[in-house]
Amino acid sequence: MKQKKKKETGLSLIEQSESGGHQRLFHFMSSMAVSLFLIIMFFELTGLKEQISFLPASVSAVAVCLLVLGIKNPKKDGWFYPGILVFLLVYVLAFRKYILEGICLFWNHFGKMWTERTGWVLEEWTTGFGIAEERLCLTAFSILIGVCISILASWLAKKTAVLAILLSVGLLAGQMMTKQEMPDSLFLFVMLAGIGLLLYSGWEKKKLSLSHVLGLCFVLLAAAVILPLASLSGIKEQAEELQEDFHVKLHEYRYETNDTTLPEGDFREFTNNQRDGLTALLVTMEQPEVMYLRGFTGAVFEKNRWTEIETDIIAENRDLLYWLGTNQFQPGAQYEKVTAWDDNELQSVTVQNVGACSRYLYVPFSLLSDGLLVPENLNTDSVLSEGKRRYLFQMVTGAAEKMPDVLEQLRNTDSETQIAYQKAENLYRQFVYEQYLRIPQEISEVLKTEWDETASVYGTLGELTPEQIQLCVKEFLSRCFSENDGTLEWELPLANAEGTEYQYATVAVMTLRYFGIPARYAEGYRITREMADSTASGETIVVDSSQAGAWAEVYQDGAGWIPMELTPGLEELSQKPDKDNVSDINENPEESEELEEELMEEPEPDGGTQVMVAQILKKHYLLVVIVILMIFLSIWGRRKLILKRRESRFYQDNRKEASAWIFAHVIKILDKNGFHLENGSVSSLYEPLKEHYGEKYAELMKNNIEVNGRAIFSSHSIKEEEWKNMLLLHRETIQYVKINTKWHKRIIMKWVECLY
Amino acid sequence: MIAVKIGWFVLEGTLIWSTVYYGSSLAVILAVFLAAVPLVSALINLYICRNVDVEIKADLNLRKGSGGRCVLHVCNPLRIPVFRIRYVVKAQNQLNREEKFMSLWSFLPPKKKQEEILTVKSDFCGRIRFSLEKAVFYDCFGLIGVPYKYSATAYMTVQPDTFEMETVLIPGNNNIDESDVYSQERPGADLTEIYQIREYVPGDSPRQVHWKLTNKFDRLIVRDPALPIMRNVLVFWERTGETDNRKLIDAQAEAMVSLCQSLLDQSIQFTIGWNDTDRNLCILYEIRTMDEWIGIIPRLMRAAGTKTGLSGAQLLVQTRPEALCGHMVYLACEPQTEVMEMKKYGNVTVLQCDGDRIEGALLFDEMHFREQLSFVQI
Repeated sequence: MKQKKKKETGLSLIEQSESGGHQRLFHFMSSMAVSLFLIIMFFELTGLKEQISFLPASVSAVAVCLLVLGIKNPKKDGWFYPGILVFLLVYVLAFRKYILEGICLFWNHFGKMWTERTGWVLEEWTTGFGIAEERLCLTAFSILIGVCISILASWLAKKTAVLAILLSVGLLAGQMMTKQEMPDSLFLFVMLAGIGLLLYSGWEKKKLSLSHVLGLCFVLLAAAVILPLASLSGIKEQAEELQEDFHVKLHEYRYETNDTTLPEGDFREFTNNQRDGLTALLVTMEQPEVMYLRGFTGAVFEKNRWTEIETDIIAENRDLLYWLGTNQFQPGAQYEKVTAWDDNELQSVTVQNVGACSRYLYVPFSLLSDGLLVPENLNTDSVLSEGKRRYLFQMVTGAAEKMPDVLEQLRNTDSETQIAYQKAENLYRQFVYEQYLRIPQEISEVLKTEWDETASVYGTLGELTPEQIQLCVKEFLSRCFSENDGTLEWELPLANAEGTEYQYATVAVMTLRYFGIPARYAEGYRITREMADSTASGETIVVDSSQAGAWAEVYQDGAGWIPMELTPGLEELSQKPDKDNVSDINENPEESEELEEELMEEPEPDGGTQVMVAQILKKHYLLVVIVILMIFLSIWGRRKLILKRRESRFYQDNRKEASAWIFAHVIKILDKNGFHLENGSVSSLYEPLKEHYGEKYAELMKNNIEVNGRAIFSSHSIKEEEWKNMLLLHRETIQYVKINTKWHKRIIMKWVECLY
Repeated sequence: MIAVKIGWFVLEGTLIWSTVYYGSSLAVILAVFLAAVPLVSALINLYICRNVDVEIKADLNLRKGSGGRCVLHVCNPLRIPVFRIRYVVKAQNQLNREEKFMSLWSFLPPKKKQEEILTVKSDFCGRIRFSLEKAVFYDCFGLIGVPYKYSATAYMTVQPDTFEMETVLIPGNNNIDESDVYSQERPGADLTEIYQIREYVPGDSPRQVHWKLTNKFDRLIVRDPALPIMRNVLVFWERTGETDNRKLIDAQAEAMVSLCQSLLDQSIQFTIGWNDTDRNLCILYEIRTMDEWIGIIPRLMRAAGTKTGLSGAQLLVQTRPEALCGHMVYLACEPQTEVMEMKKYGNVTVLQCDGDRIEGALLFDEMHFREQLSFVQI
């Protein structure tokens, strides 16, 4: 029989509680279950399960839990946890090479998964061991993980509610950090385990009766019974709708304003109610000119929605894209590289995003790569802003006008820099030709006949020259839109945005792709000729919602992604192409092959560089704020607890003890303020106190020294008034401390040492 | 319990986040379940709480410093369990007004009687009143509580220790101390009356020998003198002017009980009294036998004091003057001025522990009262 004493006073009530062997067994089971769940979660979310089985980690965790079960009371046996930590240290020291290698292997694998999930590259760590030893290294690492997790779970085993929180937070944090969703089955087990632990919490010290256990089982059973409902289609749809709505709302909350108009490629619930006159951007440039400020770009069209290129495709081409980025080749700033040999006239542009979606930076194709484009982020098709509403960039002036000359010069250059650039561009071009020529099956089925019919005028599809292709595209688009008087026999994609430039851009992209020209969908704002002409240098151009729109962008070999309207040969749909200005789509395949071969001799991309920790932190600023708040909350809570405990001592019924406590605390405060006792005598403080705090305070202190002496050593009682005087001394002391102590010391005294 | 509540919020938060962020239908179901359980439980508990019977039982007597039992019996006649109940039990020492609250968490199985046992310990004497302040019926996560007030009470008397006190009655000038009643319980010293006749045992005084019977039976027969029973004594405990010092209250109670014990040992019948400070009444009981005295102790032990107010002495003089007699003992923490009025009626022995000393008063404190009050002249 165990007894729990609540409070030591004259009258005491003690709750009788019976603890049996079931407690230890339950603690063992709960710590083991939590350890195993956490290990499985870790393996699942980080992808470690693809490298090694979780058996070694699980066995080591079970071993630690069994060890804890064998110890009667690990928390009271002070040696246990230090002992097991020493064992862990010895283990780490003994197998350090293997463990470090295991960590490197794990990290590199996790980095690949991370790129697949996010499009960001993590630094790759060098590994030194051979493939044969990889398994051993990973085993050593996984054992370490298992032991650490099980120590934590065993330590918290008696606080079952904390274990439930640990499970839940572990699940949530794991999913958020690894950007990976937990499989349903594991999610279910973890949650049920959490609920079970919560149900048990509070009964640790009670002897559980059979009916109690049955009651707990009943709740878990009820949860299990209703779970099949989750597979009902209505519920699933509801959950998906909730998810969709939440993401939309979250996106709106983070990036949008009431004036945001662009659909960001999502036409699933599109209604064309675009309002004019809503200010979107304020653009200030030195030499106002025509500009296509693109924000969102779409590579894949599916179910009425444009999305960026999938992250797993990016992950497949991770090395290539990263290598390109670290070698100053940025797909978002190719034009600037093409014209680098020329004396480019550059200008700075400041953009103030007032009403546009702030997820993207609205930048032109002639952007300079400095600063805005990060090599670690492989998703650079749309340049992400993540909420930044004011930014500055540099661009090549007059890029649209110079385009024909630039392309001409590109063909004839013999500059080493340019040749190096062309090698890189050649590799990227291959990637582009693989990814940006895809047409969804359903669109292809509808439009293929029409496309072929259009092409048949000029020849067979595979044998068309670039000029003929351009003519075909123009003709098809004019058939679809210019001549469309409602008698069109086929249905164009994006029917719910019929007649809008979003539909036009989509059809244009599909058509260009069908005829072999890589193209993508872009959204943003245009600065027209009229706007540019009517604005003086340095004057701000107000770009409103009437300038918002979408356009197709064509991959101009060598020069990168250019808006279709600025692409030589595609500027005027009704106009006949000028042969001299036509782009050089695969014009010189022999040269390309040569470049490719040369490039093959180049060293392989090294695969990674340092992660931009600051950027990641910025993304998770909310988490950081929460952590800081929690720290403040715990400091505040700790102070409150200490003060409360102190107050109960000061105001206890036994005035003698209360007075002694108050006086001891006063002495402690004075000691912290530099009034140290000489030879242990409190009376020695009289003179210094008189000097610093005045005679009144010193006298009060003197009187209370005598009262304290009586409180401690005499059997005489302390009168109410004397006790109140003691309290007064305490109050006065704190007042003096507040006035005379420096702020930093005061903060430590108040919040760290909790002296008042 | 706060950890369970936080745990519930974290779990529910995780499920809601998983629903809206990942679109998990499993998370929806579990989130709804987790939210519904407390709400449904609260409704069920509203029904259950009216049907549950609660009773408190406690040991009648307890020695100071030793442990006694107070048992909370809860009977659930329904087929529905209650996963968490919080009982708040209040224990109050009615003598020194010390209070303790105890929170108990329990599980109430269906169709069963549950017992919650409390061990009670008190360093001070007094009558302890146990009451169930409230019972709150919670769901299994302890989130929504349905409070219900039950009227269940029990009492336990923590008996005061007694000490050796010699009391001597001083004959008064104006008072008649003679008694016609003699004790049937024990012998005394009044040789004019015989308590019992018995055979001689070594040590008996020759004055006790009953010569006539000795001659008749041809062996030594002695007679024990009788003990006259006195009724001319009042022991009064002033409860006004009481201190906060519980040890001092305890000392007064011990002194009071020891004094009465000593009087009873001498077969002195007496009147015991105190003032009820809550109702401003003067309580008086005549004590003739030990049984009567034992029955009065629990009542004495709930005589709570007060610092200010109408004094017991004043009440006694004004409302019960017939109780004032030749020998009076006035025990007080701080004697009230009205004690002077009592002196007009007879000899008043004042036992005081605080305040201005009354002339002729016996002083005592909580540490040395046993020595200080070992001899009292009444």
